[in-house]
Amino acid sequence: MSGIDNQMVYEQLRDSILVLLGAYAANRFRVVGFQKKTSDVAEHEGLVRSVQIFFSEEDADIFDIKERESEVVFQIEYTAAEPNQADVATLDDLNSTPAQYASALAGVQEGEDLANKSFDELRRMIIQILLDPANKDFGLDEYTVSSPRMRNFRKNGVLNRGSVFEVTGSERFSAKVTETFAGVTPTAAVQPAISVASEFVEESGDIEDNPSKISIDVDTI
Amino acid sequence: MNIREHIATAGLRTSLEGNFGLPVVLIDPEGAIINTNEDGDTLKGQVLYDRIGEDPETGDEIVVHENQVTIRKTALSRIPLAGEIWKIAFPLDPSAPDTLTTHLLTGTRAPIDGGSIGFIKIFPGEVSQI
Repeated sequence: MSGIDNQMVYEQLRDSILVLLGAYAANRFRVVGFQKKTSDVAEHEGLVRSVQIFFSEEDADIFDIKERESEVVFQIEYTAAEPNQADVATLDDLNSTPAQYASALAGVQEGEDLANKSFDELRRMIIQILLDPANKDFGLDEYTVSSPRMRNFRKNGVLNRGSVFEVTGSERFSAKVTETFAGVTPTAAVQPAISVASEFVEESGDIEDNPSKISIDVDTI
Repeated sequence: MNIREHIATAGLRTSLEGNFGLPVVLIDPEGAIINTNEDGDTLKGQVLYDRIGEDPETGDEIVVHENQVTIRKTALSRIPLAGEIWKIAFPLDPSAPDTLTTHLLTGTRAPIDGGSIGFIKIFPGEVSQI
């Protein structure tokens, strides 16, 4: 089958990574397997914080050999958001004492702090999953994937998005894979129909009308 | 009374607390409630719910839904300072002025203390129950 019809290893690895992260996501985070242009901050709030992961880089050379090792890179985008949190019930209660109000205000958890901690926790989970030696093959054949690593981690500044504070960041997951390159040449050539003449003209010019004596050399593919 | 004093009292009283004013309740870090002005009347301020901002990606003008509360300083028995945590409650719907919603003044965005004219602009943050 032509190489353009089969998934390459980087595609298989992409799918495997999504399955792997999804297996651990549970109620901890949300996995997005593509690059989202825009999103509502509510999509990343609390335990719905999200990790976007998508194939982003590979250097591929001319397909002059069947198997070649190359490095594939997946871009990871982290997003976490949290609101300020406080004992609102006490603050709203008209019967609360000043001491109770003061205690509630002293116990305020600022959204920036919560969002930062949520972000750090999210990042911790992702690298623990992707770099766990038990997951080194990512569900693919042994030795197909090697040298997984995380690099270029960046955390951006916190943004105030109305009711919540949002922290974003990025990282790159790379691995060496052994790609099999089949190209676009069909694996089985389509042979033209061979027309067997009922007559065979001998060098002498005589016509041999016995088909059993006709032989045609055919090259084996 | 010079012009500055006049603006800080009578001028801002009219512009911030007149027909455009909405009730505001503050609670300071010590738990003291401030819900009246220096005359004992309901504490009021100018509450705005939107501002014009700039889309960081395109540079276009966009409407940012961000609450701002501006209060006359002479109406307050205590002025919020940057870094302090206060409760501030105000109506989210100007047509329902009696329903106040709790917000917080935190260190996220310090209030703008209009020392020159006598107002303080507060940027309340929403809050969820722990």
